[in-house]
Amino acid sequence: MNNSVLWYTTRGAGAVSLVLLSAVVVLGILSVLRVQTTGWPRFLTVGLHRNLALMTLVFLTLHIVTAVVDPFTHLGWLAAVVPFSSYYRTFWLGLGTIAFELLLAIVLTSLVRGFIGQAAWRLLHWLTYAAWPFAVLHGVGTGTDAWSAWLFTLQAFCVIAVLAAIGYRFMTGSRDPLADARSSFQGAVDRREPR
Amino acid sequence: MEPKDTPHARVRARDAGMRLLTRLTTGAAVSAVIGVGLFGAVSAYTIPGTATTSTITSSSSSTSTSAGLQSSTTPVTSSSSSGVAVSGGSR
Amino acid sequence: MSAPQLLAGPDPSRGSERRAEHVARLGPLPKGGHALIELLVRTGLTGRGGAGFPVGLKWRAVTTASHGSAVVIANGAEGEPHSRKDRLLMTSRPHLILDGAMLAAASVHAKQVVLYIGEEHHAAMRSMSGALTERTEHERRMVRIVAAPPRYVAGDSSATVHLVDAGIATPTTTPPSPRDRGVGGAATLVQNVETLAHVAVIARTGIATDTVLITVAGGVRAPGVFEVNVGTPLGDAVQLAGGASEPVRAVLVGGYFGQWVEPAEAWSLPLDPHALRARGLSLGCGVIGLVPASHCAVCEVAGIMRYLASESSAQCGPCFFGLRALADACTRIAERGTDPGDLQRLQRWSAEVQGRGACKHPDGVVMFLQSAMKTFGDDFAHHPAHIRRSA
Repeated sequence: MNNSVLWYTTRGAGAVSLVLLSAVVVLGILSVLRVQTTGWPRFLTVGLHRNLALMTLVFLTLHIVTAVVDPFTHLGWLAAVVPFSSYYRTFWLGLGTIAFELLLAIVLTSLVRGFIGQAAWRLLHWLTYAAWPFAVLHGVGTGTDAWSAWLFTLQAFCVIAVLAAIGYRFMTGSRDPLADARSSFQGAVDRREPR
Repeated sequence: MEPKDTPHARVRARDAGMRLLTRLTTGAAVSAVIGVGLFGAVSAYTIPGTATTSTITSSSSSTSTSAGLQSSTTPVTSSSSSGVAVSGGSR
Repeated sequence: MSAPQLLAGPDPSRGSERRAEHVARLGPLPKGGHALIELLVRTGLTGRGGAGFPVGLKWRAVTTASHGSAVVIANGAEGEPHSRKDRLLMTSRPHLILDGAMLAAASVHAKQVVLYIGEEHHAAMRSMSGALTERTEHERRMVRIVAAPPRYVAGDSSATVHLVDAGIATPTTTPPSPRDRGVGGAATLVQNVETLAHVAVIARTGIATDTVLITVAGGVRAPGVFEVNVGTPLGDAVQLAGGASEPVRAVLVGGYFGQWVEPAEAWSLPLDPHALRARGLSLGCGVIGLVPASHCAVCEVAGIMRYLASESSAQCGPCFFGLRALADACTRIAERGTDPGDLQRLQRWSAEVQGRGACKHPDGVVMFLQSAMKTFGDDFAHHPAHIRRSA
């Protein structure tokens, strides 16, 4: 196979991974807000978040494998798992390795959430807020043409989308469709008032 | 047709939601695959010095040949050659 | 069937056994402590609240986590709709339960004992509080009665802790388990009242009890609570209840979080927690329910699903919405008849719910439904539309 193909696939898969990851983060934020309309039920946000997260891992794997297999990068498999061990753009690539491992940890712990318990899962999931910026910086630092128009636009769009979602989260309380049911059940089992 | 909150209306609403989820997921997957090819091709196009005539990307349809650029500085060979390890890009 | 152990003595229907008679019959209260815990481990006593966890191991864990200020909760909430055994014990043998609670407190170094009783179970309340007045001053100071709301999840261990601690009977996420951090942050032992009654007997005899309390309900002539030897065939217990009043469609073993069994297989099932677990079943809280053949199985299951879904504490989306989705799908089949998408819907929504709840309620419901779909597979696949029966 033509080696440029590997290289272009690496970059293409990297760009797609960034877009997918940003969508996953936005959906994650929206699911906390418990956004729901008649045409868009709550499980849709959560389900899409989950499906896209798995998809992100797939394309991320493609990105990493093509990068390592490419004879011209001389990256070696070690660089894919040990951060800051590559000779090539050591720092920026290392950020990517870290982002990948964080994401892997987050997805794996989500799959075994029953075993580790809700609190531990929640704590680990907060690592997403570390993984995403690392991924963005990795893209900025290792993309040869980081400042070329298309990649810049793409990255800007992703960053804006995530920042907008975070901003929205802070400004909106959650219109929680569960709130009514929860408070009515709680009222029924609340025994705090002295009889 | 029916009051909104009966079990039957809810079942239908959930079915619709599920179909939407499947459609969106499939759409995302297809877009992502196309995206790899698209961004790969754009990447090939925008990096000076790496446009080659023999590039065949998986889903892109455009191959650009720029006359006169030194494609010989980028060894396009599949044998393992050590040495110049500039893969596809100038800094 | 050999003599009952928990219900030995005066006829339970005669009401609360007085302290004097209790002591005359069984002897004084033994000492709790490390030796008792080891005895419980050796006898292999398992909990009777539904989970069937080894009692000795639980007490060991609480003792380790206790810093001298543990709490014991005697769980008599009996939220399972058809179960009657806890109430029977509380109304007729309150001192057995109090003995067990005191032994527990001494063994796990607890300074507080809570009797967790359903607020609508007035006879049980009266009996337990009456029995309390007959205890020593020291014991009376340690014990208080807390009334539990009549909800299914109010009997969950973490819900009992939450009610005692914060006044609201909703299950909480574990970890941390009540064993480590419960009431007021202290190690808390939550034990079913029947289990405590067994402890009270074991502490005196030094050997395992070999009986279990079973509630037989549904299509039998004389439903009620029966104390049977561990390992008694289920069919024998049904005979004690007067036998089936009509031909049986299926037997629910273990209550609403149990499993459905075909009658032919059910009659020979040993009523033994370990043996049942070995067959992939569970004794649970000891409820055996018979569904007559004249009842529509799908409609029965749909009704139970609606109940269980309505008993969600609405603390997490997967449980509240997911169980409602499953109940809706079952109701749809029951009322409108099966259509091709229905079985798929049930599979899909079960997968969405399983393992995603913040507590164990949704998982229990999913297992119940999966068992129903296996046992009543044909009924679910070819159910005709008919008006929902009230039975």
